[in-house]
Amino acid sequence: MFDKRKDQARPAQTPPAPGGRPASEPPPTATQQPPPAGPAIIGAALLVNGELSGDEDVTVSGRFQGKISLPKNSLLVSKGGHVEADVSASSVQIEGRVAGDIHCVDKVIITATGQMEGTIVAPRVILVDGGKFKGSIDMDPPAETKKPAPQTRPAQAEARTSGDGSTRQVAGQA
Amino acid sequence: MTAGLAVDQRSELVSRLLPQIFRDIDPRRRLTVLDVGPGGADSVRFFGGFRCHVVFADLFDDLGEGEPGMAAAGRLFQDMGDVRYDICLFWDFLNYLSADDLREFGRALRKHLHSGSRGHAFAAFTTVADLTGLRFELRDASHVRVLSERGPTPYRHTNKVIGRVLWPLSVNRAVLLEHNRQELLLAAGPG
Repeated sequence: MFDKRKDQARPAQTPPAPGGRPASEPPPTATQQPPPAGPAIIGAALLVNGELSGDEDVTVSGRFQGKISLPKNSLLVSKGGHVEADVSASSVQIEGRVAGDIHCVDKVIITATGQMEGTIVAPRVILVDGGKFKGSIDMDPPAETKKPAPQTRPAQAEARTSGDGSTRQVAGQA
Repeated sequence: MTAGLAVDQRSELVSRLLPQIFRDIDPRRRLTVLDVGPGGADSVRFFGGFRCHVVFADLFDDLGEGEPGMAAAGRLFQDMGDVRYDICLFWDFLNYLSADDLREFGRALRKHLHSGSRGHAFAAFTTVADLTGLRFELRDASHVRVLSERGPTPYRHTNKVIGRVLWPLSVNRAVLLEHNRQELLLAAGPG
């Protein structure tokens, strides 16, 4: 399902033992391997149709159609990536295109290159200037960010900071 | 909507009527909002401070030569379910509907309003009003970011007509702006 770049993105997946390991020493077994260091990646040349679920962050650089369920993890739709799916995730960052419904535990970020059409249900939604959204948003912000009075501009500084965050930063917040 | 907006110019309008729309909102209640414009960064940030359901319909996206504005609105209302809106932000969309389309729009919208619904719109005050293509984003309860990018031929509807076709919304207050334009506060029930 995933392309070879997944492995390329994990250079530290089997770190050498302290002091270096003799060439004759057998490689560590699967149970000794550390957990994955980066997201699983659907490469730019891939079209995946079906259901994706798991406990790992996922980056879609190609095209995905179907359903994505990552209740404890993040989804990044990178620039050039195209997702037509109902998505359930801890957080979602859209740099490419998404059509469908998104249910998010934490937040959805649509960056300047992102395009989203559909429904978003999330406590927080951040649309960076230049990003495009058409559809409906259900927001229930944390109590501290709710508007005390109509004249205030809520969470502006926070939105700017978060909007500039990189993929890794978002994944780390999951 | 400030003086002499030209293409690609960005501006900000201080609204005297929008604050009244957002006044007295009960923060414990989920707010339902229909914004006929596209989702913009400012608007999403603003509504992020509310517990709310916001529909960014982007009806302007389908406006263009040969396609009546009501075509996009018709598709919107088909998928809307039985939601009733507390606030309707029309921006200047009503100006791009012919008299027949405006009537149709009002008829379709009616079942999504309730006795406490409020609305806001920009309209022409006279037939010589300068209504170039504009896009709006809500910066906060009284500031509207104005961007110029669209340019279909606008219509001009009187406040009386707007109030009649959007019933139960009616024109509660109107403020005259530059270039013979005005902003309208719409409210359901007795004005």
